Amino acid sequence: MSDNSPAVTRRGVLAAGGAALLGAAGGLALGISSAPGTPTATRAVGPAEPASSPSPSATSVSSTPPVEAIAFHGVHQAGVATPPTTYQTFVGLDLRRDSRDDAAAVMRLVTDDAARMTQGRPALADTEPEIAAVPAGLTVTVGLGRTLFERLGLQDRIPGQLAPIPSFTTDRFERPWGQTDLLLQVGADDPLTLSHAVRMLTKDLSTLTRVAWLQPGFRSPQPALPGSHASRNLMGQVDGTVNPRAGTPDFDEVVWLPDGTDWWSNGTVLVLRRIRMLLDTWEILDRSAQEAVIGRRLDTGAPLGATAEADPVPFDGTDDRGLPLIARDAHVRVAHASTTREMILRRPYSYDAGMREGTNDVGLLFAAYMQDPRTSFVPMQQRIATSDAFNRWNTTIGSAAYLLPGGVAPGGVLAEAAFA
Amino acid sequence: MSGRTRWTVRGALATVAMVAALLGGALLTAAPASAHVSVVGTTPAADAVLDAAPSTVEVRFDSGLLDIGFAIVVRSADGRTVSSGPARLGLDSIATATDPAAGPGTYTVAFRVVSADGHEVTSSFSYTVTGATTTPAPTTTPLADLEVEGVSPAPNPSQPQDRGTRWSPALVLGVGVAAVAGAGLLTWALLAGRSPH
Repeated sequence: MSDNSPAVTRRGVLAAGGAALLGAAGGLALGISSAPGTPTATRAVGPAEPASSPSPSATSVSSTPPVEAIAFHGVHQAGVATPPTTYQTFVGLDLRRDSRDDAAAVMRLVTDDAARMTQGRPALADTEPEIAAVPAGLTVTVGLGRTLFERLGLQDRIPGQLAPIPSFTTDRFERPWGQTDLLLQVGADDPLTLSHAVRMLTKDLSTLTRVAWLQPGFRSPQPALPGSHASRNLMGQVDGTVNPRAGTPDFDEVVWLPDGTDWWSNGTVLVLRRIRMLLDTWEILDRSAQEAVIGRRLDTGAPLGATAEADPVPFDGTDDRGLPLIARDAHVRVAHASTTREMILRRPYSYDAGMREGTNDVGLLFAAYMQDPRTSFVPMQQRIATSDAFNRWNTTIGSAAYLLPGGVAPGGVLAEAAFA
Repeated sequence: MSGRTRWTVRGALATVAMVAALLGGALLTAAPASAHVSVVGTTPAADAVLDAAPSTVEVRFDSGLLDIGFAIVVRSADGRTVSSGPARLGLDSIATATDPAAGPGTYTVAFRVVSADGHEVTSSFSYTVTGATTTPAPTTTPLADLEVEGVSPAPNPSQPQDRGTRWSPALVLGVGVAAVAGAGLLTWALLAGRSPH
C-alpha cells in the first residue's frame, strides 16, 4: 500500500494483464456477456460503449444470477437512474493534503478503477481478480463535497446547488457521519463483489485520502409489492412510492442538472442522511397508529382512505365520521411535494449496525437525488422538522451533501474540469 | 414521567382497581394487549340534552396521549361541521371550540387519539341541543358520576368499525390491571425514546 502512487506502477503490468484475461475468461465461462459481438480483452462483459442516457442492462427483475454489467460510460454517472442494487456502501473520504493535484489524481484513479470493475475487469494490481470478474450490477458513483473546494481555495467553482444544508431542529448529529470532501457510492447485487470493489477503491486512494466513514446499506431484491417501484424499510413502510421514473421528463427535471460544459453539468446533488429508527418504541404502536403516523397502509402502501399504492393521497378527505383520513401531522402529508421543482428521487437503503446501548442500531440511509436541494429537500425537511409525527421514531444522526458530476465517455475523467 | 399518565380512580373504579390488583400478574400476562385507553368523561356528557349549544367540546381519557394523529370533529345530523380551529390536545384530553350559535338538533362528536401506550382510539358520542336558550352553558359531567359505558359507540350503529375502542366492563377491568401495572412502564419507554422538542 506504500506504492500507491497515482501512476500505473502498481505490482506490474503482467499481473494486471493476467487479471484482465482471467476476468474475460470468467465472463465467457459464465456466459454473461451481454454485448453484441465477440468480447475482447478490453471489453470482457457487458456494454462498454457510451450511452446517451443511463441504459441499465438489467431493466427487469429476473431470476438469473445477478452477474450483469451496468454501463459505466455515459452522459450521466450510473447509480442514480439505474435500478438500485441490493447492496450499496457509501464511502466518505477526506483528502490527506490540500492539493489540487491530489484531487485530480483521485479522479483519475477512481475513474479508471470504476471503468474496469463495473465491466467485470479487475482494477490494476487487483490481487483478487476472480472476484472482480463478477460485476453483479456494480456501480461506482463519485461525489464531491463543498469542503473539497473550500480546502483547495476553489470556492468559486462551487455551484449554488451545493449550498450547505441548513440544520434542522430535529438533527441529532453524531460522529463520524458528517460532511466529507469526497463520496464514493458503490452498489452491487453481490456483497462479495461490493466488498471487493470498496476494498480496491479505498486501497488505491489510501495515499491520497483518508476514509472518514463507511455506511453499508441493503434493500430487499424484491419490490415492496408486485409491480411496485418502491421498497420496504425496516419499519415495514413502503418507501419511495412517489418517485419519478427513470427516462421520463419528470425524472430529468427532478434529478439532472442541465447539459453544459461545467464540471457539474449533467450531474445531480445527493443528500445523504443517516436516520436511526427507534424501533423499540415504534413497535409499541398498534398498526392503525403506525399507519396514521405514516398516512399510508403498511401492507399495500395505499394512502389511508384509498385502495392502491399509486392512488393519489386524499389530503382533504374525511371518513364517515368527518375525521380527516390523513392526519395533519402524517408523514405523507408533511413530506408531500406539490410541484415537480419540490420533488426528489428517493433511493434509500436500510442499515443494520449491530447492537448499541442494548438495542438494535438500525435505520435508513436516506439517499435522495435532486437538481437543487434549496427548492426541494430543504423546504421538505423544514416541514418534517416542524410537524412530522414520524420524528418521534426517526432521528437523523448524520448528514452530508455531494455533487455527483456528469458521466464521461471512454478516456474521460470524472469532474476533470473541476481541478483544471 | 409517570405524571403523564393520569390515572384518576374514584368511587367504583377504585374498587375495580383493587380487585384487579389482587388478580395481578395472571391477568397481566394473559392479556397485556388489552391496555386500551378509556374515556373517563366528556363535556358535554354523552347523550346529554342541553338548552344551549356548547362553545367547547372535550373528551377526557384515563391515560396519557401522544401528540400525534389526533383529531376531533363535531357535526350536526345533516353533516354540518360546527367545530372550528385546531384540536387542542392536553396530557389526557382532547378538545375543540364549537359554534355556540349552533341551532337545535343532535350533534355527534367524533375523535381520534393515540394513547401513550400506542393504541389508536377512534370513537364518537352525541348530544342534543333543544334551543331553549342560546346562552352558552356547557355542562360538565362530574367524573365520579360518569358511566364509562355511557360513551359506548353502540348508540350509533351506522359506525360499526371502531378501531381499538372497547367499553365493556370486562375490558374496563383489564384496563385496570394492565394500565396500572403497565402504562407507567410503557409510557416511560415511549418518553425515554422521544426527541426532546
